[in-house]
Amino acid sequence: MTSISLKNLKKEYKNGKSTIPVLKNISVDFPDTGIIGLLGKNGAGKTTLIKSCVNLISYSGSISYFGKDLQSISKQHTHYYTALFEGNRNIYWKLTPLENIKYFAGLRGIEYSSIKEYTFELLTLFELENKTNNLVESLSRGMQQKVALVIALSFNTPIVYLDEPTLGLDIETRNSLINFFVKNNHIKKQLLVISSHDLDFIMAACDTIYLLQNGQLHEYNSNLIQPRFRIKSKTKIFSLESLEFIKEEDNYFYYDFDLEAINPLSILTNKERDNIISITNLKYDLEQFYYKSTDQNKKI
Amino acid sequence: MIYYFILLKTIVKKDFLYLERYWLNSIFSIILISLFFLIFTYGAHRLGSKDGNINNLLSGYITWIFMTTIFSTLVTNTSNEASLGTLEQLYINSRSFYVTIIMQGLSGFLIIFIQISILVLIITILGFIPINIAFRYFLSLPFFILGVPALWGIGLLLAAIVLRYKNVTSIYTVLSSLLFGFISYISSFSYNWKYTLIPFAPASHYIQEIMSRGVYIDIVCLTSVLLNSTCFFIIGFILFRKYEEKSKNNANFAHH
Repeated sequence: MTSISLKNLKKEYKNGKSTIPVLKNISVDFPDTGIIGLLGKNGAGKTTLIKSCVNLISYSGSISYFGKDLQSISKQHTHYYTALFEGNRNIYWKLTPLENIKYFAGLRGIEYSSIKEYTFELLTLFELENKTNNLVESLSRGMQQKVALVIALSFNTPIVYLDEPTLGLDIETRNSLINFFVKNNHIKKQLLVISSHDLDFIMAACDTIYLLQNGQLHEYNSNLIQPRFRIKSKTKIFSLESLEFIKEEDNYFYYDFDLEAINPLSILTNKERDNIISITNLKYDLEQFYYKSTDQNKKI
Repeated sequence: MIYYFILLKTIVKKDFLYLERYWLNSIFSIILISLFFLIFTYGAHRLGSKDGNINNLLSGYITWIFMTTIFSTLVTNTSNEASLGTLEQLYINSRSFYVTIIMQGLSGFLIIFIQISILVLIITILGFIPINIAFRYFLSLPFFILGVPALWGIGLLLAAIVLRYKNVTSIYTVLSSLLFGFISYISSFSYNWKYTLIPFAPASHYIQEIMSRGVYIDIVCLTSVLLNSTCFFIIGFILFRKYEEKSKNNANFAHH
């Protein structure tokens, strides 16, 4: 079943007399459960996309939740989603974590008693159970981020948007967050849309990954990526321009190639072939996908 | 209905938590408004004013404090939430942002009502005003309530300007000090239909009449209060919606 459906979603920002297109006719359907990762360079439009989905930014095209247009469900939107932006700036620093949770529950018309059990599960997971009565302003940046995360997850809405959830988290907490996302039964019934620059986190936690590039969403699918290899040679290879020169190190020359595009062994001269020391299979991972798609020459 | 009850309870609880947490500031604000009044009345006594003038001074002062606080609740809340980054969360977590800020206005009303009641109690105990004047203050409460939407209206109007232009300190100062001072002054004179065109002026006039005369019924003035409240609330609401849309267009909803 489709939980969120985007149809021809467009957003342009005005800058003086010119307009800057950020989202260009995005059409995509997200399932009702799972974890969607959203990657993209700074300014690619990740936050714009999420803020459009929660009606904080005006857009053209349509966004619907479980078949109902976002504009028509604006009064009941709290039944559909929660969202976290800029983490620790989303909570009241002069209140304690527990008071914050109770306040946001009250805004949604929810009695705290109905979410108490799950909230404490979350507070324990994030090791905040002993900090519930401390003022948020007295907590560290990472802990404030965790409080904001607990609030976003407490209400068990079908969809949760998390913009940069790992910002300020230590490695241990980040890993427990991955573990929580992957194993928690509540999360398994929800759809999480997570935008992040933390590739390892996205790779480990997400079922589906999208890259937002030039206003378009590109799905990352490891099965579709061609196998990639690296040649280590004693000499320079001149006979095949399609080989991508990577680096020269310790008098060795390194070249990369995609096997499905070319098979250099069949084309190289005998001398060039004799100078090859090794051919290794490269893990063509998310990072490569990211850098390739964003046209950045990442040398590994 | 249960939703609105939970929402109001939540907002009032948060405001009272702040009052309790910063109790020194809360107590000091009551002392400050009491002190200002005592200085005014002392000055008036020294200048040979009679009791009637002291009553006028009290009603004008109370109306001014009330107007300023109710108005500033909406403006400062919107401005603070925007600069803190919680404004977006108010949108996402509440069913209706407008209802939520009106509830914040109600909570502000409750707090200022309690503060002014304490002020009235203090000055009555100290013998600055007779008990019947204190009683008239409570009698005027329904008219404060009837007039509040007009204040919310201009509160929303300035909150809208906050969303669009961010820093509105000077406009805020002009409105809260000069405009409201002017309104409470002019509305102390006999009723004029033109009051309807000035926010809260009919309610201010009615309140001051009750404070000086006791029970007072004037259907024309009462109609004027209702008309004034409705119109200014609608104007404020429409302008807020307009600037809210502009903010959404420019994606600067929570930027400050």
